[in-house]
Amino acid sequence: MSGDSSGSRELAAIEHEARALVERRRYSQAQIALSRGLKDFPESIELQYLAAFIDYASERPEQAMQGVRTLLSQAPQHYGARTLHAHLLEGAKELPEAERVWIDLLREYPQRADCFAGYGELMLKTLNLEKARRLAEEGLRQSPDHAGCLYLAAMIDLIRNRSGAESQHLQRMLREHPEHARSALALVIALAAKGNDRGALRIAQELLRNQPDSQHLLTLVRNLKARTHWTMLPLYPMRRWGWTAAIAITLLAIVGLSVGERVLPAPVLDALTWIWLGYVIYSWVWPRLLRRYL
Amino acid sequence: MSESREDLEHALLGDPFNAEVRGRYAECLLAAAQHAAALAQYEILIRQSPEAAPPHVGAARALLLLGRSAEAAKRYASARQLQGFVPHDELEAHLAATARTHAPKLAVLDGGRGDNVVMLAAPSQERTRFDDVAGLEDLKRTIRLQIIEPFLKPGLFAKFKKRAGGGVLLYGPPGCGKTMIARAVATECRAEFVSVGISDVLNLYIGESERNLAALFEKARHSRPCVLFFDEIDALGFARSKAHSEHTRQIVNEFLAQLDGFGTDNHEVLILAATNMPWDVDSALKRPGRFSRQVFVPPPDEVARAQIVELKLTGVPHEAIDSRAIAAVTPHFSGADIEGLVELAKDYVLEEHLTRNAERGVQQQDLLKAAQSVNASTLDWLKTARNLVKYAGADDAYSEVGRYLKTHKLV
Repeated sequence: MSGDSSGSRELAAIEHEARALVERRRYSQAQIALSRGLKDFPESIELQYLAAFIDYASERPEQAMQGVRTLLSQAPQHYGARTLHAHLLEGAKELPEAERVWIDLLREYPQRADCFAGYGELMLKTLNLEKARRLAEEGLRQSPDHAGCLYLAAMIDLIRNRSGAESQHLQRMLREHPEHARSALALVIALAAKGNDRGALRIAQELLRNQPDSQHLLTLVRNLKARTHWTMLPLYPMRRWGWTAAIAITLLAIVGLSVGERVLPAPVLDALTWIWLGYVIYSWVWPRLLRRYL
Repeated sequence: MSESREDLEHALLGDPFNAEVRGRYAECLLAAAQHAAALAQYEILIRQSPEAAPPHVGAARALLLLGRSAEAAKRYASARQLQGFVPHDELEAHLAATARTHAPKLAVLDGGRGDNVVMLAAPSQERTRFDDVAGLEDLKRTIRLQIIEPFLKPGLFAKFKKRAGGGVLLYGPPGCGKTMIARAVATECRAEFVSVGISDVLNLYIGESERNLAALFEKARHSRPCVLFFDEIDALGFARSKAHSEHTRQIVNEFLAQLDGFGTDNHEVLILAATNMPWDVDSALKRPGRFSRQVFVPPPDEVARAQIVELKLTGVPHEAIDSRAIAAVTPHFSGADIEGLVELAKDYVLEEHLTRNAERGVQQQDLLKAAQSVNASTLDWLKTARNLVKYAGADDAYSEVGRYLKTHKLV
């Protein structure tokens, strides 16, 4: 009896240590603790789950998938393993399969807001905006301050042009979860959508300072740096109003050059045509070059 | 009548679950000095009847004879709680001797749970000096001026209203000697050295981790002058804004309270910490009065790399080696990388020795060939640091890293 209890205490201690290390993103150390634990407790479902999660977090999706499948064959109802499975399937672009997993999870856990958030994010990725919105709403009905659902709802608001002060969800997210990295990320996207690139850059830099090894944040900062570079100033209308501005400028140029053909001398018209062509080439090539240069 | 080993094996074949026979068989193997085989038999017995003490004691004896004394002590201690425990003289003597030589100066008891004791690493007998740290002359000079001298000559520094002690955070890529420098600082300060890792503090039970941390600080205060060294401080002082659990935040709160020394005095206690992820350390820990001095430990320069190559080849058969040439082809290599390189070169020599029977020492060519196979492990860290310096608009905290990156054209 006491042997059993000392064994379970040892197992709990290993689990605790591994979880603490995972929380601190000390994956290699956590892996050492887990391999030690799995040697003594190879049947432990929690240790197997943590090992698969570490593979996922360390960007080894194939090993993670293998670990999750083994785990699910032993414990098909394990909640963590099933959500991890859904995320891995999403990563592997097996979206219908991922959707099936989320639907199964929602059937069994209709009260869990993170299932709604997970499924909603998948719908957002596939641009099923209406379904994503309804999922976010249902998740928020279950758990009104759930960070994942608020983030999802804020993103949908942004896509539907209700950014900044108009997005109640973004405001609520910033109010309820000010330290959540996703709050800051949502704010960056909202500010950039409103054309406040400098503000977005400042927050994105803060995020990168917190997590300098994040490739995603690095790309975000580089893009924002490129957008705020002084050489990008002539492209402001297109950055601010997107394709609408591009179409308007093109139409304006065509009309202007047509009128100019009648009233302007040929050398001036040629020069204007070349300037216009230069501007078009510059608008296509320079942002890409700048991002690479930065 | 004593049974032979063959008799016992035969009996076990007929009745493999007979614990009594297996116990006698394990004893027989121990008597025949087949300690590993005996241990395997005791392990089977433990699996068959985990509540019985004798197999645990037997396993502890086998472990002791195998030279795995720490495991033996642990196994014997767990056997005490089990049914049918009979003290074993040799193991008792071993445990007593272990307690005398390695016991911590301070142990915190949990008020009932006897197995929950903070085990502190015994002070190392080998003292690392600054001369043992290859190269990094500028860094050593800075540390001597900012850390060691105030500690050794508090009177002089007191005149200028500067106090000895406080906290210093060493950061830089892994494998570049942060821990070694911390040990050397303790030696140069003529102070006790207490090294703490996350596993010394973390505990499953609520409040125990904080108590462990407090006990470590108390031990350091008790043995002043003392250098209390926290390895991988980012794990212990993980940024609270990034932490998910309340437990992690509470450890940081306790850490801050201990550093501030509320109701206590950290005078003559130098608190050193090392990390290769300074961005994960809670910002409150870096404020004045805590780890206010942050020192960047860069990868060894060319001179240092040459010295490390020579050091690693000491006592190893080798021919004339131009260590500067090796250093020149190993930019950004850490001390650990160079050690790996020398090990690989030795493997080449041994392989040749075994396959072609050609006896020779390590040659320049072996080292150069190994240098092509080993990559600098510091580059990942330096790239991350570049993200901080170049893109994240990092403040002055990383100015030393910025200078290093600029000097080495990495920005």
